[in-house]
Amino acid sequence: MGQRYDPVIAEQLKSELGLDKPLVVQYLVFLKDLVRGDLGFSYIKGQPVTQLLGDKFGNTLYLSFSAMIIAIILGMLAGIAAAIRPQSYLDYLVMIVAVAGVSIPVFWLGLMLQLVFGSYLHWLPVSGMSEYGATVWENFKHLILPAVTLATVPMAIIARITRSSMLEVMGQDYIRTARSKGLGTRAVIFRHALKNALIPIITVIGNMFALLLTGAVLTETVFSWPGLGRAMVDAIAQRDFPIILGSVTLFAVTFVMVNLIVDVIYAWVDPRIRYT
Amino acid sequence: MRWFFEKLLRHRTAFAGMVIVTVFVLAAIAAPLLAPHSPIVQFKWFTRLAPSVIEHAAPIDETGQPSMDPASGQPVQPKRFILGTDFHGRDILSRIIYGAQVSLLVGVVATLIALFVGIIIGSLAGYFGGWVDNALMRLTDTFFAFPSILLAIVILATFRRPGIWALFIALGFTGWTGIARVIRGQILSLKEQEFVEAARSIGASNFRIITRHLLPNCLAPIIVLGTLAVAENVLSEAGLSFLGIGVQPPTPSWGNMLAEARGNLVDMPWWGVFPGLALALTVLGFNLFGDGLRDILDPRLRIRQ
Repeated sequence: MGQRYDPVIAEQLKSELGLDKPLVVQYLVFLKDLVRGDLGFSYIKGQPVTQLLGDKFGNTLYLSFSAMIIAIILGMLAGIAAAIRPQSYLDYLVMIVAVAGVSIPVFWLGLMLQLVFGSYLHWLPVSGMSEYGATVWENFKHLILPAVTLATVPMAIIARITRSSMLEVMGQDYIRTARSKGLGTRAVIFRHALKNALIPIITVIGNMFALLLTGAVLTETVFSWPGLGRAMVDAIAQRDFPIILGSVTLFAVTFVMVNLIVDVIYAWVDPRIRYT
Repeated sequence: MRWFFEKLLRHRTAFAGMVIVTVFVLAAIAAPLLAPHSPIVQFKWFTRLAPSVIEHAAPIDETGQPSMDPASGQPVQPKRFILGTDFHGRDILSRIIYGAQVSLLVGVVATLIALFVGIIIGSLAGYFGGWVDNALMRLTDTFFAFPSILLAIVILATFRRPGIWALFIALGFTGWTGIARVIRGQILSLKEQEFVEAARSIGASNFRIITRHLLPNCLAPIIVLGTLAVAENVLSEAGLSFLGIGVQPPTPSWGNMLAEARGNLVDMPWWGVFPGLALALTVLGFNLFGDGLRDILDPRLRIRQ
């Protein structure tokens, strides 16, 4: 609302939106609607929040899971490669990239990737998501840059923890036993060492989802990805509170669900863990 | 003390980190002396210039005469812009140097607030145990369960005009959970030791035992976690300012410089490249230094966050 407005209309709007009630009452109303799956209406667009955020939420999950897959595959491979020959040049390289990966600002990396691969080389689209009905290849091309950007930090952390976890396991007696009975290096690493090194790695991957969902806010803004994070930032700029509340609620619920799934996976991977 | 510095000198990455951090801290303190120009003055005859060590000639108007500066009535002098200028003719190097002030100030103050809150909650929970521990740790879990930068965004969204104070609060009061957990763990194991019993037997109060006997023994993790938290907070400040809910222009911050440069990267890449490099280097410096300190001071402390 601008500087000049009719006070009568302002009062009418306030009572329509329920803003004339005390804050506690407003909160209780919000909670009551929330349990019924109703997040209210956008102040600006007038449409239901759930409808506005539904597709965006899917897009955020799509981007986050793609980034996670990249981070897990590349991070674990780098960590294993470094752990096979500790103190080698490859090991140093992986460690340097890992420290740089957690220090580089995601949004700046995104801007630089856009500049190089989008504006200069014209290999990949600079921003946005492909339209509905586009080919798989078109869709994939739009996904690469944001997914790689978002994957950087988790990839660095996974590489680091994989390396240290593998190094710890490789010093154990049963690895020497496996080696001495004549198993090849590959079998020892993948079948004996990796299996036991996996638990701390999974713990870290579980914690990583929080980082990923928040990284999505910045990455989506840089790449104009139509996701939940960007919807939240836009809503803050427009002071559209139902959208802000709705997106935060969705983020929080996702986060709790992911933590629950991770706990279940722990118990499955490590039979020693029991929840009572 | 001496063994510490000897170890620090021999730890190559920690030393490199310390050098980077020192350079940026000195640059921030000496910004008025180092910066060649004012960070907010717009030199309207020198817009969109690429980085160059060569002095740009004084501008000439249509008649071939040197352009006059209406403010001073003097002809405009030739100027040098080592890292170029932006769309409005502001010197990018000067803005980066002054931006270091903002970034480091937010990073350090937010970390101090987080340490303060984390140490109080952690030591109370660890020392008193029982229901106090239970209540405080459930509070910590609640905060921990929520991605801290998301919480910071929500806090900032409630400010009508976000600025540096809002950032202190938003980052300081969301980043304390890791510190509280580590301090609680340390106090929990320390309070069973004999020197605590000895202190209690001569009548020391709980407050005195915590502040004089227990917390000094937690100094190593506090220093390590604090250093790494500065890196985290500098990064968060830049991210939030990039989103437009942190430091507001014209105050230079690396984050809001990148936000301004975003639409002009193809024409003026230098506008976005250099602030980002400064930011990445600073964070790298604090991370290397913090990791090195951990190796030196407290090798058992392996959990990040």
